[in-house]
Amino acid sequence: MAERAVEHETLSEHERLQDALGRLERGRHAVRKVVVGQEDVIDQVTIALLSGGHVLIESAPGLGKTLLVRTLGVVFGLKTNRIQFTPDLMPADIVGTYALAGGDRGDGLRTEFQPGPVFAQMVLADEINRATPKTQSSLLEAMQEGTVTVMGIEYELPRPFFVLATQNPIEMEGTYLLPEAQIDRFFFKVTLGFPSQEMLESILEATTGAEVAAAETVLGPADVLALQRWTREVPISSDVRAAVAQVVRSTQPELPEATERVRRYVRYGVSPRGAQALVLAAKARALMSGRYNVALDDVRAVAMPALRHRLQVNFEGEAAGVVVDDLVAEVVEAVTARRR
Amino acid sequence: MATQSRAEPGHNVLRALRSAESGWWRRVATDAALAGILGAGVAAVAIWGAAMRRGEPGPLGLRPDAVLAVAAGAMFAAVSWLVVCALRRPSQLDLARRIDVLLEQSERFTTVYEVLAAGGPRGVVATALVDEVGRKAATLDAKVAGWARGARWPRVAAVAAVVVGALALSLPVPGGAKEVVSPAAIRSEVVMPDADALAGLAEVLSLIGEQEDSDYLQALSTSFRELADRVSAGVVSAAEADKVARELAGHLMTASQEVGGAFEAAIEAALAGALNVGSPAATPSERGAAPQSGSQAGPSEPAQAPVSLPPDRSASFYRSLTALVEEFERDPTGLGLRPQQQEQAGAAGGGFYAGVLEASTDARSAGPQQPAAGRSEGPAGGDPAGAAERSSAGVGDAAGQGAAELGAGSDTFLDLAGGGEVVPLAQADSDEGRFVEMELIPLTDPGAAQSTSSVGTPPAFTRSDEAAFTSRGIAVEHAGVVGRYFTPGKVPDGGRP
Repeated sequence: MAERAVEHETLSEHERLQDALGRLERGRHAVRKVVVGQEDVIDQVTIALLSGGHVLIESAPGLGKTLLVRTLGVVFGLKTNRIQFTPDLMPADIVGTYALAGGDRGDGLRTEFQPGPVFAQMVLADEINRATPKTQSSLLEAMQEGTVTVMGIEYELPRPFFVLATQNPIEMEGTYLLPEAQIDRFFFKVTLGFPSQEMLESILEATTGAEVAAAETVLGPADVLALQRWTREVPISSDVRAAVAQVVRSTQPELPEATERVRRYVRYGVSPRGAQALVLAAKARALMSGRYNVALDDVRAVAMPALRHRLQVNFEGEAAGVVVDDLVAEVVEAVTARRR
Repeated sequence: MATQSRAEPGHNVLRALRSAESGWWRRVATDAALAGILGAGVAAVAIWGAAMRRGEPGPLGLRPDAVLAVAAGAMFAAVSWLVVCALRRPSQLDLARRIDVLLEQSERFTTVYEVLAAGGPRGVVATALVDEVGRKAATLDAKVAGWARGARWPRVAAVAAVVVGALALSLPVPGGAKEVVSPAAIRSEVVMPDADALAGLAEVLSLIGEQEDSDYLQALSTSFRELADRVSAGVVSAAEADKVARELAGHLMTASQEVGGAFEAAIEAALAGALNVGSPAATPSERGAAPQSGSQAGPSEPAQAPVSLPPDRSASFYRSLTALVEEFERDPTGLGLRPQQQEQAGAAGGGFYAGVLEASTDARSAGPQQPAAGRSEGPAGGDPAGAAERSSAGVGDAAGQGAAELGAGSDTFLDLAGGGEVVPLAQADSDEGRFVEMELIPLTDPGAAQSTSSVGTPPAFTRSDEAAFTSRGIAVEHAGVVGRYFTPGKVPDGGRP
């Protein structure tokens, strides 16, 4: 009898899984209707969301980053905040602070924690490289731990907690570049290129008319959390796992698996956290595609955003104009081709 | 029920893997057959090459040995292939990989196999995966994944082997191959000479030699007779007898050219066909030119370059000798024998050159020796040299010994065993070691040397063992005589006693 109950529960969960995946697909479609011409970015951000990671978007201004975050927040039913990073932004401006609160006549005054904008399920940290390292680190701690500590008291951030930070590749003066160790904490680094002619025409058509497409809520925070859990349950074969490990080891210039260009142009390779990100992202992509196992194609598809910010080119590489994306593509292609 | 429905997908997956495995074995069997065809083709080509090497012309066709070899080659290749494939049999995980790659399953079967191998699905996603792949496996022709092959070369190679093998079995083996005769075969071809034929030939040569006054023929007669005696006594092997007979035949050819006339023609006609006259070492012109080449080349030339007689011609060679003797008995004049000599047939005794055989078969010796020669020059022997030749130049020469016919005189004055003081030769006479010194000791009584009446029957001699010499020189009582001929300028009276 108890076994039957377990079977029923499992079957019910299976139905919930199917339902959540169906709604996820509808949500992606809804986002695409609003954010036109950025399908890859939408997929990558969604993958990062399902994996429980955070995204660093590097793009020029005006490419729809804020619109993307707001739309995702609406579609996934997540509370969204936006923080504009400036040089004078303080950590308390992000995480919150204690303020006096209480009676009107001065009695009953008490210090009360006023949560900062980080207390949201989806946070857009705009131009994060303009804030000081101290402020940056306060956000990065929240990203890593899912908690903030103010006045010695730890406050848990709402779940799911998703940060989408942006940095502008131009106007680098007066900015504070994120250290490599802090960049490594971002699950994905997504780059937005300038849209093509057709894409730009579509953007103009969709956003300058009398009726602007509005997003609808398709999923809720509980669905996102469930999807994050199911993402981790996606089985991965030993072959694919070995391929991921081989990819990561191939980026280490001092290891024998490294390619010739990696040995010559790479200063630091991908960390084990990068390998974890690669596997999780591949799982999320598989689930998002309606597949219940990880394929090599998934690894190949997510390798670029998962690894590009974890690979540091040396001076010779910079002088030679080596593009990190090319190195990543070369390594991934070499490994997956051998596995075929 | 739910458990059964969940187990069914896993069962389908495992069944698909087994199906892939059976397909793989089917492919292995096919490849083994192709390997067998390839092996048969190689075997056919190999036996064709072997037949050509052995000089067995004609098509191999359905010869039993050819069929057996081809079948063995095919069997060996097929079994070897099967054994290798059995040793490299893919695991179920390998088969799952093949299905994933060949049927484009995006690592589903690999993952499901590992999930099942780990104890079954845990969690909703893994369960969903097993269900999904189980449904796919039920309709999937996984055998194709096992059967599928990567390369076309085995089939191409098998077709090529069929073509080449068929050609090898049907095409005739060329007959122009080099004939290879093993040493054992050569020994088996050697024929024991006919003692009667050799004795008869010795008698003929004795008569002719006596008539033509040819010491060479006399010596050959003696050698043939000795060989006949040894053959009849059975103290010589067929190979040794054949070798000696062939060498003597070479000498006979040379001696016949010296005699010339009908004898030469008869010998030439009788032996030219049996002897390998085409051999550079045995051409008549060379054999004929040897005696006239001065002291550097004498009658012993054929001994230095024996006549080459192919083994398979031994029988015909002895038939030629027999025919020669019979021809002589039927018509003695055909060999140039005059009537008075015919009457003396059978009277020929041991010649003065009885030792020619022994000398000429010794590579270190110098052929027929002259009686007075203390030495002969050069490895090829030579004409009479030294004191004997010069002693015949003048009557009463040689220390009162009187004139002596070259080759007929006694050499007892050189008897070193008779005592006397030994004096070394002058350095100028050694000529940088090109002289071969030998001691010829007559078997006759030394007293007979005082007489010159034994011209017609020169005494037999034996060559002493050179290695037994303890010193080199000439007895002091003969030193003056010999010295006059080698160093006349040093003799006070101009070389005259």
